[in-house]
Amino acid sequence: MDELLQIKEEALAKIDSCTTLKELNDLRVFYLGKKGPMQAAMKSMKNMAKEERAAFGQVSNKVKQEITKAIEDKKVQLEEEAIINKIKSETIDISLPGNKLPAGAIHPLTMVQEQLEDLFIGMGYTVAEGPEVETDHFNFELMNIPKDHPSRDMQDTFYIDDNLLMRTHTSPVQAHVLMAAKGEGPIKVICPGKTYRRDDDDATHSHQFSQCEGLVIGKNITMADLTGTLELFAKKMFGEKREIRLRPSYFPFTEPSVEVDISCFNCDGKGCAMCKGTGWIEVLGAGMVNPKVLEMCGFDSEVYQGFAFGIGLERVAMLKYGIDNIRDFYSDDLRFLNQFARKD
Amino acid sequence: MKASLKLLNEYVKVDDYQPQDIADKLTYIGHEVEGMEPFAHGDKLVIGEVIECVPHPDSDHLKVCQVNIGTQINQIVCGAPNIAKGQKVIVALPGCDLGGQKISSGKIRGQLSDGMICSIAELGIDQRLLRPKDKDGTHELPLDAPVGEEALPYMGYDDTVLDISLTPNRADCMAMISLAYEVGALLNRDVKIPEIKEMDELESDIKVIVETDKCPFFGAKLVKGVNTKESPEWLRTYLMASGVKPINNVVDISNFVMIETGQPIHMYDYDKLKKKEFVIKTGFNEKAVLLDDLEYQLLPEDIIVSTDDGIGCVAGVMGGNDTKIDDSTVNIVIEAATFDGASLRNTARRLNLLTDASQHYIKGAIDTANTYRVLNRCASLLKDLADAKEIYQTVSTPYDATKRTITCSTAKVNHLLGTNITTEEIADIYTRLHFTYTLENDIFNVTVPTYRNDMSIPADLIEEVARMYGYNKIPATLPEMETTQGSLTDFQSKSRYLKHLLSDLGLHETITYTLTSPAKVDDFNLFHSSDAIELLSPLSEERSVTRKSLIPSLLEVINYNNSHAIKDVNIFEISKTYSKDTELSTLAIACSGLYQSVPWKQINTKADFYLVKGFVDAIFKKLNIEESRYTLKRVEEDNRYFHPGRSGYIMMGKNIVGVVGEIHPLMAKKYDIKDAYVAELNLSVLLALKTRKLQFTAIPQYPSITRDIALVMDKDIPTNDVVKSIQKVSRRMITETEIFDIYEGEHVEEGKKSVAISLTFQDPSKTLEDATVNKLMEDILKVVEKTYDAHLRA
Repeated sequence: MDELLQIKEEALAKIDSCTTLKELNDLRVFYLGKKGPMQAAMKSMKNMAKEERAAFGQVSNKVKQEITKAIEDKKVQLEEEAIINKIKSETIDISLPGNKLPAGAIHPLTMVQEQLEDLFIGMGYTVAEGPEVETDHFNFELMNIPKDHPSRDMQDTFYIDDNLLMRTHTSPVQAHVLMAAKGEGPIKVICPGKTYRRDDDDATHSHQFSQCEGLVIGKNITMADLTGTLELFAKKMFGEKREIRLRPSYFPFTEPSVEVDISCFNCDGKGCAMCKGTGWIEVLGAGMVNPKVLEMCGFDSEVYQGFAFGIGLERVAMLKYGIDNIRDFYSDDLRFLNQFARKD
Repeated sequence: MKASLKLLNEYVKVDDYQPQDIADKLTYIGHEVEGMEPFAHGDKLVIGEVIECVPHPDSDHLKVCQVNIGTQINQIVCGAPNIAKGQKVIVALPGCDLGGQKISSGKIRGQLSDGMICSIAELGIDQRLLRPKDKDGTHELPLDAPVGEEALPYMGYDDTVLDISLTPNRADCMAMISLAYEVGALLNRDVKIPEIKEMDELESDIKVIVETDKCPFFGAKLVKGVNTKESPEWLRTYLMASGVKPINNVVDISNFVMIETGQPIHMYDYDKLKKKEFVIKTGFNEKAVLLDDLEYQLLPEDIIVSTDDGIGCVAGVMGGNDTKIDDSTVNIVIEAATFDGASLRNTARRLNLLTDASQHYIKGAIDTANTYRVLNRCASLLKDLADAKEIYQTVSTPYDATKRTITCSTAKVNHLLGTNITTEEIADIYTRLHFTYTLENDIFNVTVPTYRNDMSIPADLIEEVARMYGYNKIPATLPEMETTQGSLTDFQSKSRYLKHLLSDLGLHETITYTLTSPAKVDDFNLFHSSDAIELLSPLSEERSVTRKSLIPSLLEVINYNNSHAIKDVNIFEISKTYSKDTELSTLAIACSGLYQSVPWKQINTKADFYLVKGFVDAIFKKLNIEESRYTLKRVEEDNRYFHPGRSGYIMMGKNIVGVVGEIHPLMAKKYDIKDAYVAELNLSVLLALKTRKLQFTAIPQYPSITRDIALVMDKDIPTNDVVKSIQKVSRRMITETEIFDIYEGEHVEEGKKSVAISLTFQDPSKTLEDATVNKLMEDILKVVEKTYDAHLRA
């Protein structure tokens, strides 16, 4: 018995001082294997009395268990130590940059367009598009701009022939939408798209630009509804604190017509360089659809009325993001585009 | 339009308001004031008397003056040649700011100078409006000018000039009287129309004959015995403040009357007319010298006021040389007429003579019904200011001024505006606007004044109410109507999806110009078979036709960025392309340089064919267009846009729906870039395809088995064809095929390649047995051997 306990003491001491898994394995084989001191001690059992043998057996099992457990514990400990030692050699420079993933960007005009689309879709508008190569009839006549109308002077046009032209505004999409509705309201639609004017390109003019038209037709749509809608537009696009101001204006396709200013978001209306000291920034034109337009497009203007507005996407983007040269939108300099590779 | 506030004040009292207030009010009723400037600059200008003027001891041209400025006597050194003792002059005191030039006390060549004696030019007035003497010397004020008082108010120069941007429908406001009506309506003030004294009128021997429908009215009035001289200061000052250069009293009166009434005036020298007859007609096709001494080619459509069978005047544009008035003119025929603005616009534009007068006709500022009054106003001024002795009766064509009546109701006003404006308020607004009306049961029958050419429908009347009521008093509500479903169309939503997909995959979206040059319009074109759309009058050759392909635009973007030292350009665009009768939605991708780079890890993914093809594959996959629906066909060997060995058309049946490839080196040269890998897709076709619904398939429950094979085959065999034939062996059991190595060279026969493919087998209904896989492998080898003579690599 004492022999067993002695073996145990010796084994536990050796296990405790063991430093490698290999060494530990050797100990396991030695103490628990068939040729170890335990087995040797067991041989003496044959000569023992029955009771004594039972007691010896009990002790020897206990010793075996203890040694096994000690080896297991030591193994866990050594394995952990091995990992910890390995980690020490695995240090990297975490200050180095992460892999630069290819990162593209949506064009800022698309960003603005999508923001507008989402805003108006949320209010029940659909999105309509129309041809960019448009007829004189849709671009002008149906917009109440007959030949020789003074406001044709306002928009110098790229004509293709007597009948065809590059559309000068997105307003003709109104006419397409109205015609398709065959005199039946309600209509709630926005029409974003490219437009063209015979302007020389400079910091504030571009022969190609984009607009987003809006059109709401119903039986009781009022100018107050237009005001409310535009106020919402101003707040969503330029911030909740924005206010709008309406000024009478003139567009052949609306009557009354309004020019819409928003309170300057740069100075909160106090007056700064951005708003030229006025506290207000001109953002869009709008009005109540001219009854002549409704009639020409097959709507009974005694029954239906509504409003329309036209937003310049470049203008919105320039104001929102502080872009001061309209040509930047079309030169597609990556140093420009890259700045829009993030959430607005 | 330039408007003098002092002149406006002649017609409606505004001088008790700050100029800024008037500007704001005009803007609020639709006449946007874009700028505002004092007519003359200078805040410390007083009237002084030169009580002594002696030569400067150290100068041969300077004088030393003692100037009485009321409170004291200042010594001022002055260099003007006309300065003399006894003159009343304008003195800028030290501290005076002459629009940028600050006056201070100081010594000039040793002599103290306490201020400056000013010329008119030094007051900051537009130099083009001034006489030589206004610039060359100090301004001599009348001898009774009160010493010590402020100079600008005394001279009538304390004026503010508004720059008003009139809307095209309100050209009538080019007349100061009309503008005064607007202000009067807003402020609820009376408008004073200049009184015309009764004149004894003699019978005229002038005849007027109108032979064209482009002259609805022509009036002529003979005035005899005028004395041409300089206009009085008040008239000169008003003209200058309105941006018009004073000439002499006769010309100035005609200009002044146009400013006041909007009616252009032309004057003929009566004594130069042989026949005292004016014939208004078209049909001249000749050259004529006009009063600017230049020769112009007239065309038959031009409206001409013919005198003595010649060109008396190009109607509304410029007078002829033969009949023009000059300093010796004594007898004058005054013309006030209405001409067709559209016709006149063409003439004025063609002759490059967009004169002030022509602008009034073109924009429609004319109140024909007022013409007689205008002629009388002219005659009356000629009498007062040019000593006209005899005034003759006006001779004119008949004119019937029909009154325009428009009906509108209180209910209609509020229904359109969303307001609760009362009948009384509306009535008050119409009264203030000088609209006459009858009112019954809240229905207005409104007769609009003759100068309001813009009024024709009830909505116009409602706008007038809104303008005067105040646009900003209209409440803000949102439409109350039937619910409508807001959404993007399927096409729009796919198109938007693609933009985000490609930008997330590392491409930058571009937006480039639709208009391109004829030299580029056919490059890379695949989808358009018709001719290009050409503009009638482009701004430049470079932008004269609409593009058929987006690729040239993207190559230009690569070139632009390369020339700004940006080598790696990976871009796409979704835009329309055009040809006669066709407008297509098109997507293009272009990559050049590196696609991805982590330099310190030596990761450098160069753009190449397979990168761009990868984008295309991703697009098809994401759009749920199965591979079986399209094929890639190599481009023609003699293709000059795409590299023939490295480009293919994406075919759906017999139709080309896209292309992917490297641009031809010839194109790289043309567009001045190193290289570019491009793709273009016809979205009008692809986004309209019917595709399978997105549907979940259960995750397989049974394990799969993977086998790799290496096949040796002719190197020209398209690898993907082999892969497709393998897939066909069992679409059910072969779930994945992945090419993982292509090898040519040592240990592989010359002209052959070895393709290593990893195949994954799986049976959806049970655990796959080796025997089944073995059988499939045998079948695969048989197929590839039979079809492609491909063998298992030894």
